[in-house]
Amino acid sequence: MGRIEDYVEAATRRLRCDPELCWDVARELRAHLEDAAEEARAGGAGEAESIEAALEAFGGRDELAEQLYRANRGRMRLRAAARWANRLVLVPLAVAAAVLLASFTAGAAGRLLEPDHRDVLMAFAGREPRVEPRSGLSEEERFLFGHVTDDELEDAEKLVARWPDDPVLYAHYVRLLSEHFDRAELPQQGEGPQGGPFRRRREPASDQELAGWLAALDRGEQVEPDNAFYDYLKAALLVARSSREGEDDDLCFEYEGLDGPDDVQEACVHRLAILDRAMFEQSVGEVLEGVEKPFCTSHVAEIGALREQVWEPARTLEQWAAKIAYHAAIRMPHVSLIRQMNRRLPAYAVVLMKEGRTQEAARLASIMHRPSVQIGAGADMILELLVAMAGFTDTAGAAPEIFRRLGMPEEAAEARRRFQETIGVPNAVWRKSRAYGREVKRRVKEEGSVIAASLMPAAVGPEIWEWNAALRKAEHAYFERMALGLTTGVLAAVTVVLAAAGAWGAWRHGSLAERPKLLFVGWRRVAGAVLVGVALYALTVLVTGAAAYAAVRRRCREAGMEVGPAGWLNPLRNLRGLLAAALPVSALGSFSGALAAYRFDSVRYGACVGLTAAILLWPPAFVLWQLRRLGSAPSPFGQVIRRAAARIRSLPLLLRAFVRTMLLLLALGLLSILALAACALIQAASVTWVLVFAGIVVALLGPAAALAWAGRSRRPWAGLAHFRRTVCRSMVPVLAACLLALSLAGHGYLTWAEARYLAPISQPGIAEFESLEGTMFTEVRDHMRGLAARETPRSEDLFRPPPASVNAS
Amino acid sequence: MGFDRELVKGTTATVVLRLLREREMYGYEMVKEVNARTGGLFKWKEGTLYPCLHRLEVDGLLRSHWREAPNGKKRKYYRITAKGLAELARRTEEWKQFAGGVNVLLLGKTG
Repeated sequence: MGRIEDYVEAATRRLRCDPELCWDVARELRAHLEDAAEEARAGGAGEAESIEAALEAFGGRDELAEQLYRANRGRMRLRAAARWANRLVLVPLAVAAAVLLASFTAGAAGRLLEPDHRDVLMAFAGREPRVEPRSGLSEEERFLFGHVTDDELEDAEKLVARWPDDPVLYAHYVRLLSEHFDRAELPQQGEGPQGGPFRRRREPASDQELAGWLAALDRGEQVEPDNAFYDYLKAALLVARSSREGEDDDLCFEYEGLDGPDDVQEACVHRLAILDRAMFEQSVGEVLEGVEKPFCTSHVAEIGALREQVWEPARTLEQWAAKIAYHAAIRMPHVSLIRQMNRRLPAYAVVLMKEGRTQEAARLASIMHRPSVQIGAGADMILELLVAMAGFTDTAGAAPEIFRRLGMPEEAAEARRRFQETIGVPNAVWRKSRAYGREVKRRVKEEGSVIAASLMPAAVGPEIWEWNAALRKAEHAYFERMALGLTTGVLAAVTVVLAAAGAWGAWRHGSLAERPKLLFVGWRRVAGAVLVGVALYALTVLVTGAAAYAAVRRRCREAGMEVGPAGWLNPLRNLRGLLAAALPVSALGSFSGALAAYRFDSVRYGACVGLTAAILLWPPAFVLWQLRRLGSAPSPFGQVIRRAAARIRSLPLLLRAFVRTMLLLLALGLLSILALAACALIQAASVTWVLVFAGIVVALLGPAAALAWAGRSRRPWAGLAHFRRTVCRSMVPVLAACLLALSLAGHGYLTWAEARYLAPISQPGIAEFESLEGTMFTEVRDHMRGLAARETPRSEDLFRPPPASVNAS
Repeated sequence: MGFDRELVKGTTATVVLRLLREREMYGYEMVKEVNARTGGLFKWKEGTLYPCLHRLEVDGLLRSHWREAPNGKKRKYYRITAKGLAELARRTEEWKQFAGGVNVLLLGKTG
């Protein structure tokens, strides 16, 4: 046969630059020559004579080589162009798309895995949530984001200059300005009871600066005369400048904590050192002006609503979470100042009491809770309400003790009653919401929404369920996108390795036109290989996904999360998603499994991941098995199978495709069932059952393997090196094409799905939070509103400070 | 005796199309068939058949696929396409006219 090989190689040498075609033609010529030689042998010729006769009849090889080249050069050029286009354009494009997707995955996974990020919401939104304004905004609208000068205060100042009489914009400006007061006038970290860990150090304000701030607040009073906000801020500023709070306690009182009557808390009024009496009393005067006013508001909600108008609707879950976090992170430095002022009012009442000014002390004690009530009634954000509640506790809680020391038992009892009544409201809501929050959290987790679960405690209320459905779907799309990134990342790595291996082989051989004798011949065969490859890959991720799913499911059960037919992680509930994006969903399973093993450090999950890896190895095992069957001859039993296969091949095209698809589905189904059974056994963790399962697998797969072995073909095996070259060259464009299609279609679909699911709740606004019924926020705020309306102070009841001249003496 | 090489070469494509009109065949089968029908007179240089087949395939007159031959081995079968059938009809007509013309000129025969 050596002469035939030499002849064929020489005759096809000009086709080498198209290896598939070259191999195909060589195979055809070889078959012809072998047939001719065989016939000559049958006629009685010897081995050498028969080959000689066959070659003689075939004609001169050089002339044939030329003719074959001329006949095929057109399609060779076309195919070469397509191949190079594939390599030069498709591979980089595909890898770029996959890398983009993978970077999304890496970012998202990094955020979720970061140990400090316990809060899923913040993990999604990032530490510095930044919400992009919609395009085409006017300069004024962009001010609302601080995107013009990168200094929010400067922007706010410009807004006020443009609309000087707008109460909302002015309050916004003053609120941001109060950050300067806050940093200048409040104690720094470690300096006394009010030193906060987040407060940045700043030099104390100069008198000129203070005068400027007071003028700004005076201007606020002119813009909105009925709003006590400016009076209280002015009072807070003057109080901070004119007094210091000591460490010693002047007066202590007990009150009921959030956990009920058994939770007894103690609060104390610290001794006050007044540095500038006139200024301090001026500040008390501001408080008294404020308490007569009908309301107190910082207009945060209105600013929030204005910002909402200039946001892009959230199209991704991260944008949505960023909006929520943006709302939550809205700056309210004024609350610290007001909190300090509230603490010093009862302290001042004690000072008055000690000085013997009992009437004034009693009058102050009767109205000093009023600023807190007003602030609570006008609260737009939970932080404002919390500060109002704290202020109310400081003032209204101290009032009964002051009355008692003043010898006014009736007033003391009345003040005590009012304090208990009010303090009971948030406590009751807190207890109720804690129980409800646990139930809500459990249900949300069952429904399968990590994001919603993290939001629930912050915004407890039945209405949130309307959000949950949308959030859950969007969240699934998000995780599927993440899984898709992982999948395409793996594919991209494989593609790059194969492309590099192919390039290295070409370089080593010194020619881009590699040697012939390839396994895959022609586009139909390549397409077949692609289909098998994609099917294998899909099956692999499906199986590994199932294994990982089982692991996560087990973890959920261990964590006390019910995972029933109606629970989350049930793939049947996401059938459409599975069908639409089988690969990403399955890869999500793989990802989750690995995540579970990593996060929970469990040998059992390790075993699950091990199984996953073992299953991952079966496609290469399949390929090796395919190679093994190349070099051997069929047994008699194998002939039967081959005839059956030939019958299938002789069917009409559509019927043949149908039969093959059915067979493939049958095989996939069988393997999936086996994989699921394996997962179930891992959950059961029983050695006996694992052995029984292994026996079943052998019993099922054994005959199948025997059948396949019997039906092995006797195609000549060209050698491993040829196979490697084939894989490197033929599979690279195929993989690249799959990768590109998977990245673009999958990413496109999932992004679209996420946006569509989020569309009904794309603008999570302050108004929505405020309208939730039965939350601590709304319950306490409504109570404060009732209190504010009921207890409108009369001017004659109010304590007025004596003239400055008296104090000076 | 064999025919002139150029004469055979010029008719190979038409003969191949004609053969494949009957059924699909592989290269060696075609050679055998031609030899059997012409009693060995029509001797091809067998190798030249393949460039011809490839050219016809590139032109879309034939389609090829690998399948098992009756002897159990895989062979590349060629099948004529609709375009090939039309081309065969045209070439047959052309041949008739050509042969008629040659007959008139060489043998004095008409019709």
